[in-house]
Amino acid sequence: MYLDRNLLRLLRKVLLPIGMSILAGIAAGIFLIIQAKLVSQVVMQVFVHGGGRNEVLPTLWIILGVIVIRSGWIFANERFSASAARQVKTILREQILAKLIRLGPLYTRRHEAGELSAVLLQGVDTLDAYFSQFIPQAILAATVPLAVLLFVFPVDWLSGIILTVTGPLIPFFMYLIGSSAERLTRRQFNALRQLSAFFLDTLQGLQALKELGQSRGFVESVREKSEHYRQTTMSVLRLTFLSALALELLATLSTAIIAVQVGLRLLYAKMDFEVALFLLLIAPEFYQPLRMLGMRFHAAIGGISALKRMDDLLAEPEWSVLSSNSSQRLESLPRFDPRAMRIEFREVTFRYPDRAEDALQRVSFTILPGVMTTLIGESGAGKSTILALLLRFVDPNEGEILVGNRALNTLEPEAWRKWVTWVPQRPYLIRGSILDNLRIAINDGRTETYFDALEKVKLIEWVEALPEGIHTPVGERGVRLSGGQAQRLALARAFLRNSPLLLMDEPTVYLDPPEEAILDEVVRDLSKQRTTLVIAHRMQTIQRAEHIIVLSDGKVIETRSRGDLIGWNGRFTGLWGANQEK
Amino acid sequence: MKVLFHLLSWLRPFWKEAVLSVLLGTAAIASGIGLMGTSAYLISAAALHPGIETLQVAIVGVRFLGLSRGVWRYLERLVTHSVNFRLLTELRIQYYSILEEMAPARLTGYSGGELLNRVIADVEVLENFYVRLIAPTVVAGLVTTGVVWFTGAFSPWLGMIITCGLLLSGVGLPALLYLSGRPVGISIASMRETTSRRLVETIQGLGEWMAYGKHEERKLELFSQFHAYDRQQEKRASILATGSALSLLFQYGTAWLVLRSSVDLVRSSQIDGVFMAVLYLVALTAFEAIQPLQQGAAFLGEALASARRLLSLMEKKPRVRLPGASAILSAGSDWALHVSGLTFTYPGEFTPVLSEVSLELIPGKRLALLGPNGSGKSTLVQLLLRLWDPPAGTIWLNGRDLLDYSPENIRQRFAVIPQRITLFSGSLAENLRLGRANASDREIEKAALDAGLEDLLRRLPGGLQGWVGAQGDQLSEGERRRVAVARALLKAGDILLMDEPTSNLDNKSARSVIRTLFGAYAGKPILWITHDLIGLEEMDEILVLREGRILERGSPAELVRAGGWYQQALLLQKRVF
Repeated sequence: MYLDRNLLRLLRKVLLPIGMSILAGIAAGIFLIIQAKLVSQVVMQVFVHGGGRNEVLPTLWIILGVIVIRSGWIFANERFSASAARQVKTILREQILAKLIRLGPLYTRRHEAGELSAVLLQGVDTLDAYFSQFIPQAILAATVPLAVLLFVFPVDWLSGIILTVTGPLIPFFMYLIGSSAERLTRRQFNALRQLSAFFLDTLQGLQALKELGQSRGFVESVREKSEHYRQTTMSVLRLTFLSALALELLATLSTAIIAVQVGLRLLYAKMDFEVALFLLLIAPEFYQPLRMLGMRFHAAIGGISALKRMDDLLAEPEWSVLSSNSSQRLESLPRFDPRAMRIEFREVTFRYPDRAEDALQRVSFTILPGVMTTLIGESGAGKSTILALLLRFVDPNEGEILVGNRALNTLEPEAWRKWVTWVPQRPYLIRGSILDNLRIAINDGRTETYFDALEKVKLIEWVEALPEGIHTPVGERGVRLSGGQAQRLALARAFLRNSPLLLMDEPTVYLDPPEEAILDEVVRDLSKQRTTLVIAHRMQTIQRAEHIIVLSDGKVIETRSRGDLIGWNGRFTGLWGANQEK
Repeated sequence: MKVLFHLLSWLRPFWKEAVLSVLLGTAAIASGIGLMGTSAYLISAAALHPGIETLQVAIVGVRFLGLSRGVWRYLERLVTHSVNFRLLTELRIQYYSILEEMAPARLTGYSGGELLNRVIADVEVLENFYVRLIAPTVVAGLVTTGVVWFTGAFSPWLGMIITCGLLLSGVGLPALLYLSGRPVGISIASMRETTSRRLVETIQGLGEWMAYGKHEERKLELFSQFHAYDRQQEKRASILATGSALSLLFQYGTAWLVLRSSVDLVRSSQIDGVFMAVLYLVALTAFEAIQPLQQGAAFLGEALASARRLLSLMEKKPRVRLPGASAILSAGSDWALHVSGLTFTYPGEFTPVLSEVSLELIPGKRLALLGPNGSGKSTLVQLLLRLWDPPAGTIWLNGRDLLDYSPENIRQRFAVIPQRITLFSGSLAENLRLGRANASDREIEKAALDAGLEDLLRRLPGGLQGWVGAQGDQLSEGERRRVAVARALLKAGDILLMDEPTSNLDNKSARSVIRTLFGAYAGKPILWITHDLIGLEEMDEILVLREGRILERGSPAELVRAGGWYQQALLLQKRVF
């Protein structure tokens, strides 16, 4: 009932430990019964027959042995489940990470990295309680009561019937807790989450509240909302706990009933004391695993909702090339002459799996080797998609991309990417030193190589002025980089990479004449001798390009080689003019 | 110990409920023990075939105890949950008050999100400390005392066996689990942290990793981290499994010792044989009170760590000088703000964000602070509001050092449109009312309309009373900006500070918003911080800030004539997209 398909598939991979765990559980149940039987014998001997220590001593030692062995079985039961849990969790984590990589940067860019990481780490962690507590307990709950019945019926069918009738009521009540009450609890849980969200909001917004001069008064707000929540929840809980009450009553009352009826039959000599005591000893043990199951279910429930999120993630439609082409044999890349990087888009159409419209629609153009081409268009026109296609983060749905005279999708993506350098609009800086960030481009360069690259992007003086030089950490706990500096660091990576094709996304946001002048110079230097495609936002870049491609709504509306921009009477001129008015 | 005492002190406001819940919990377990004990007595007595009358009391007892246990448990659950909720409220208020005092100046050294997530997690841990730690311990103590007293009445020897068994199981075993589990727990936590950081890095930079051909390497590296991490968790589970086995061994071992001793005691007639089964079952069921302690042991370390963090937060010394408050700002006064030679470096950073900044702001003067991102503009706002404290003698307000005013007083009189606009899960009206707490509905509506929110009022179900979503996610960026503008209009402060008030607005809207604000704050000092040149022609003075220094200053016309940064930026602004 609380197993989903993916989990079942995973469970199949750990059949051995799960099977061992079940066997240990059954063995523990049987030993429990043997123990109850022996204990009642001892009491019978001593109390009824007036036996002494010597008569019962052997039995007592056997009982101790049984107890020790039973502990061993319990250990095995949990230990094997833990081993199954570990394997399942590792597999699941690997599945999710592999899936994320297959989904690719276009997917992860649109999602919160922290949330995805939480699904993979904490989400999978919550399954731990499910596996190492709920599953072994479920096994015990399924086996121990059955074993008990098997032994009770031969000695006293009446008590057997009481157990048989009441036993299944426990899972039934648990089902009630699990369904009707769960709906209530879930609603309450949502209210609780909203309350937590409010609390989190408040903390995150503390600075804003201070700016508004309102932060002190918010304490009352926190108190009021919490108190309100407490009151509404308590009224719901009064009902929710009723089913737990029924569960509890069922177990204790049945024990009481068995005790009384057995006692009365004993009184009228219709039963042996030994049997009666055995029944009393065994009755609570019959209910115990079922009750524990209910308790552990709560521990497991978090895992179940996390599982849902994982399933959703694993079921995301993929558009990545790695999966679609993995079966195809890929040619290895011959050495390219940088000047032979003639790239042609032929009727390329691309659509994101979760979108209705095409991101690119029958797009055709050519990127000429050895010179700079710029790509311009409004946001959402498809510029970034073109870069993603060239990086082979995705492949076209229709049409093809030719590099020289071979189709891009016949090249092994990773081999191809060695020929490409990508400078994104907001470069990703890892937490680490400046050097660590450069090492992403090449791992094993000599120190001079890195300094050389910093020199080329004109960061060298700045770096040398830092207290720890190239080893200074970047980001929150080190030195903050301005947008322009971050971009230049990415350009330094590009210099280190030194590949024939350069793809660049110009930043839109900042406005600082000196910084822009430096960037211009660096980019000009970098694009020398290379085939360059720039998503441009600035007039200067466009004026410098050999070739201009204008995109709008996923279509190429104009391509132009360098000419007199002012005399050019196309759509582009219109856009340019409109912008001048600002 | 001090930590534990502190934890307990939070229970004080509702100690009656806490005591009640403990008593009910004890009653529930006592009923369970009583049920088994009485049942055993009933059977044993019946075996001697007395008259039914002698058994009457036992029969009634068994039935009563069979019923009462569930009822006690039910009541106990209700009371305990109520205590828990109250505790949660108390904790939240505690944390809120602490952070309120500290934010944002003393929160550095913690990265923003990390601290908050930790606080949220800590609250979740601490809210359970009563249910999982305090209540079970007290209940176990009471039950142990009762059981030992009962069995000791039969024979001190039996009492001793049970005391030892319960102590071993309730104190020894948890301590053992705690000690053996702690290093594993610590290594799990640190592995989780490093793995999580690696993972976030991999996901955020996935494009770059793939472009540089490093993603397979990263993936395999993470795979092996997962492997190690899950191995460690398995180790923890293994310790817990050992705990379960030992717990069972102690419980049944104790019962076995009781049984074995009672054989001799019955034989020597020190105890009546009728009680042999009773004692065995009482010993066995007494352990029900102990079991929650074993689960609590794993929790103890976590709870103590959380509590310690909370205490260390409390003990941080305030960095913002608290009210010497010798000067007071009253509403409606004329303002003169002087900043002279202000240099400020965030603690732990290398370079100053502001150096040698001077400016003057008097009623009716519109001053623009212009500069690229990261030039230190927003820091100035934070210093003016005393979210951070400026060095003494650098900011003067009406002839007094800014530090002479209390932060609350300053914030009440400044109207601010901050760069990052925060909305709270709640209605639009509630969010606007943050501008002025006692604003009437009509005033709020007027401010909303003046700020250009009419589209939102129409779109949001319920209009002003409509829910803005979690952190206001139902609103577009432009609408959030307008909410902040409306707040500033409602506030009617004596000075207006606006930090990028028009970002995410198109040119036309931007101009109209600025016009509205200038109208509402006519005759008052206005400081406009921006990286955008639109609308700056109307300013009295523009300061160009770059890397924390003032690069040039003057009226717009003067700056154009000077042909410096401003002039070049004007040219550069002509962007295509």
